[in-house]
Amino acid sequence: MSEVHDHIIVGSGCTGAMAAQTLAESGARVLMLDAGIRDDRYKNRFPGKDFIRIRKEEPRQHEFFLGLDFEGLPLQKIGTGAQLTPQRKFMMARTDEWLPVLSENFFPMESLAYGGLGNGWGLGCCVFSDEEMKEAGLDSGEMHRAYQVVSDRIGISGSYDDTKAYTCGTLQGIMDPVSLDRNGRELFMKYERGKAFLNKSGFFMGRPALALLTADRDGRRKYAYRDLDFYSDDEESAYRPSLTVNALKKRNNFRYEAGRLVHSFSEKDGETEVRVINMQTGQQELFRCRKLVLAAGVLSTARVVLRSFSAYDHPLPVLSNYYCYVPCIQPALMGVADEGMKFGYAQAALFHDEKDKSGIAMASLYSYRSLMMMRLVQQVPLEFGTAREFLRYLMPALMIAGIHFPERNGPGKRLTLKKDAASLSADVLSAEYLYSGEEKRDIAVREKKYLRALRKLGCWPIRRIDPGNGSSIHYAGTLPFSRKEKSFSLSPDGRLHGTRSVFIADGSGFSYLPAKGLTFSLMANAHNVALRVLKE
Amino acid sequence: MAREAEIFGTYLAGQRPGGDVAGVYAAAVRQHGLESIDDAVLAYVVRHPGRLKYIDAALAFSGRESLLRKKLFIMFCVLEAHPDYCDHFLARADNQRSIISLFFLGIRSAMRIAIGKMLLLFL
Repeated sequence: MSEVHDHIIVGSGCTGAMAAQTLAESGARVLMLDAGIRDDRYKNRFPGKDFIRIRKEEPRQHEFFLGLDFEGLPLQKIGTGAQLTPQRKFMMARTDEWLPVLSENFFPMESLAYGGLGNGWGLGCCVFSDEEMKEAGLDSGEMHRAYQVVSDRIGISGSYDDTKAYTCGTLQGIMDPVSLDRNGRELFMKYERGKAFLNKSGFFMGRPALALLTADRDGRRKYAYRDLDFYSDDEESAYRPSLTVNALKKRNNFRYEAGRLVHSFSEKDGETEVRVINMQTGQQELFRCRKLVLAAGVLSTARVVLRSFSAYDHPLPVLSNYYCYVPCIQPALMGVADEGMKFGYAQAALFHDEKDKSGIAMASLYSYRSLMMMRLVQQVPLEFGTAREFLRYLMPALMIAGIHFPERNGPGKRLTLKKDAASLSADVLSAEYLYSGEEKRDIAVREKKYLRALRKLGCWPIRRIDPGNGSSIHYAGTLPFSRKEKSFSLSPDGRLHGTRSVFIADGSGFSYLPAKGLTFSLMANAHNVALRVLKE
Repeated sequence: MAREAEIFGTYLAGQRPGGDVAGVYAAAVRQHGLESIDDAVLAYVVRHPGRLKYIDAALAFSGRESLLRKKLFIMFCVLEAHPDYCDHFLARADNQRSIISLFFLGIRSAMRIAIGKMLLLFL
């Protein structure tokens, strides 16, 4: 008989890493099962220079910016994951084979990578309000405590400004925010001028809280302002879940198994059997544990649960924030000389809060440079030579506003698992994501308000780009929290109803998806689920 | 492919591409499976490089998925990621003249679109 582990955790992303840390630090024996795809081809490949020096000096820079196999050439249409740089493409590797999704209107991004989607996290940390937590089905007291624990673990920089209620909340010990670049400074200058009007219209702008170090800590170095945020992070200043898993691997009570795709589970004689596909051999393997914690990401967890109950063709609800982005021009900065320091993470967070039941929307504002002109030029309906000249004037003035809207369940938002002999896992996730007329109207009204606010901030929208449903890369609500013992839902402590010892630590239980950056709350919830696993 | 690289590089950067540009371009084109496609428009601009700016302008307006645009885009990316040409792609510090320059660039482009559309009619 195989060894019986205290706890098996499925997935090494943000939630899996947080839950594993909490469990392992209690002294329990933890096994993490993970697909764990890595791409070390780009590791240590970047010279220790900033973006501009690399551009001006490195003869083989096309290997970093276009990719060793030219996989970074942005030839495909705009959609989920289209903007991934070569260094981040591995996040989506082999998902077409192992995690197929069939849909005409829902295009999610999933990951089989070591560290999961956390490898591409924009680092934005937001605390949910008590109302948001209540609607999502979360215990606000426990969440507030967990936010602090997670913050202490990952390191957060930010500011207690106009938006602290949405970003840092009551967190203690956060580091100073990163320095603004010129676009950010211009933006905040305009905000101060128009603040009364904007606040009256429900808009509040501040510095985002970011899981980014501005002081050295725990062997990680502070942010170095090299403007290579989409390519490399030699300083490890940005938090990635792989940092946590790397540290856990040094513990005697933690074991990590890569190349394992969890297929399903069953409970028997006080133990849980976990059926796993070995991705190298294609053979099935069996692992046993006392408690199973699924943190594979909402869609993968749904697959595992549906298979385990043989619930093919059973519809589950699903939530994904509506997302669009708006390239804007700051006319005051057109044709202005490039300054050395630029910053790829969000400069500002612009919240829209009308203090009503519609919920808070959030826009993150980014300046643009290191993703280069090649990602923009095809959007300009001019010949390449002239488009290049245009963009040379416009790029210093370019800001991108990525707007997230709060998301509630609806009859058109459904997932089902269907049998499919052609797929490696013998099934395919079928998805439908349709908004009601009322939802579309609400989104359109709110978008218009955002465009007005952006103009007030000196950012003139050029166009609005809708990358499609699922492109927010925020997913939740497939197994909503419920106090009643009913199938395909979670008890408030994260246990899957109908099981004794299967817990879910990702966002599957959230029955409402606030527009604020989700990852920090997911990690806090994962920590809480792990605490409850230890208590039971 | 070498001739293509020379024409596209000269068109986009105003100078004949040197060094390894043609080699990198060819590798990128091959990697994306665009090397051996027979295309009348592409053959035309190789024969008449001076007319490329008009054809490109017309296709930018209504033919973005064309082979020529894809290949030009690949050369655009190769030049942008090359130290000898990166200055052509970094911000231009010319605040005073920027609005006027953009206006004239737009007018010139509109004329090129019109000429390019006429040329495409005869292909």
